[in-house]
Amino acid sequence: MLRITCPHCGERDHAEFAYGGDATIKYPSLDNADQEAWFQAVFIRKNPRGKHSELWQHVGGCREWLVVERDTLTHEIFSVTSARVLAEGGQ
Amino acid sequence: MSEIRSALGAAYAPGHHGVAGTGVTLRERLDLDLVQVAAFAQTREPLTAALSHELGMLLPADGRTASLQGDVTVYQIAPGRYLISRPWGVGATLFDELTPVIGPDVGAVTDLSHARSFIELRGEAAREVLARGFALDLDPLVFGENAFAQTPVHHISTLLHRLPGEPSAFRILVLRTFARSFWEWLFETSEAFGCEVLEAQR
Repeated sequence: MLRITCPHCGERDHAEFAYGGDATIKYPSLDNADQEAWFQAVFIRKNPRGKHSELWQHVGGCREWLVVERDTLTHEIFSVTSARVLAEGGQ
Repeated sequence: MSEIRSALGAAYAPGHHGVAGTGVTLRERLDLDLVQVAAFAQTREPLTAALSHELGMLLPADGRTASLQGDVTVYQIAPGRYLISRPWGVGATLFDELTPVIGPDVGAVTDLSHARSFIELRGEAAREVLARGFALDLDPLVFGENAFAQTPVHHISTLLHRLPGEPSAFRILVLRTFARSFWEWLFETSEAFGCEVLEAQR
């Protein structure tokens, strides 16, 4: 059982969160018609053993999207940051 | 203002229920107004300043502690998003008071006065009742006076607020359309400790 410390709400059980996938994926721009670029962005994942940066949404609490650095082997959590704060340049 | 009607219906039966004794006292509050005030991504600071000035109080800095001043309670339920409640009849409704203060360029004011049910529970067994559904550490050292948390109970979203001044008094905000289902869980859990349901406060 993971315990994720939401920056807004505090430490909560991971049942309150929804997993949103790999946080490092950069999607092509919407006017990009390259099939291969979309295929890579939508389907292809590294599935690393160890440290992984991933998106979680605190659906049971503040509903913010978070970027969580988690070890996929030990489940150790290194950091939790608001995805919006990261997008706004860390304000 | 249209009259607030309870969402709990016939499931709300004042009187004593369950085992002998009164481990908890339950009461619905129908006397509280509620609005949400939400900022846009770039307007969190001006919105917070305008709201703080209008209410004449400091607003909570995070999603863990409520701010109370006089009759007004403020929760920051997400960054730049506040729930504000106070009893009816203090003056204008919160919606009418805050709409001119928070212009459409700064944020949005949403009247939620009919959208939540307010339920309070008090008594020595209150924490034990809550512990059967809320996946939170309710120890007073962790969940102190005015601590609050938004958390689901059996997939029903709730907001739990530990009221000040008493060791074991809580207010729960639950979405109106889920309130009766939530109430049935709370009531049946409370019966095991002996519970007194009071007339709803209007």
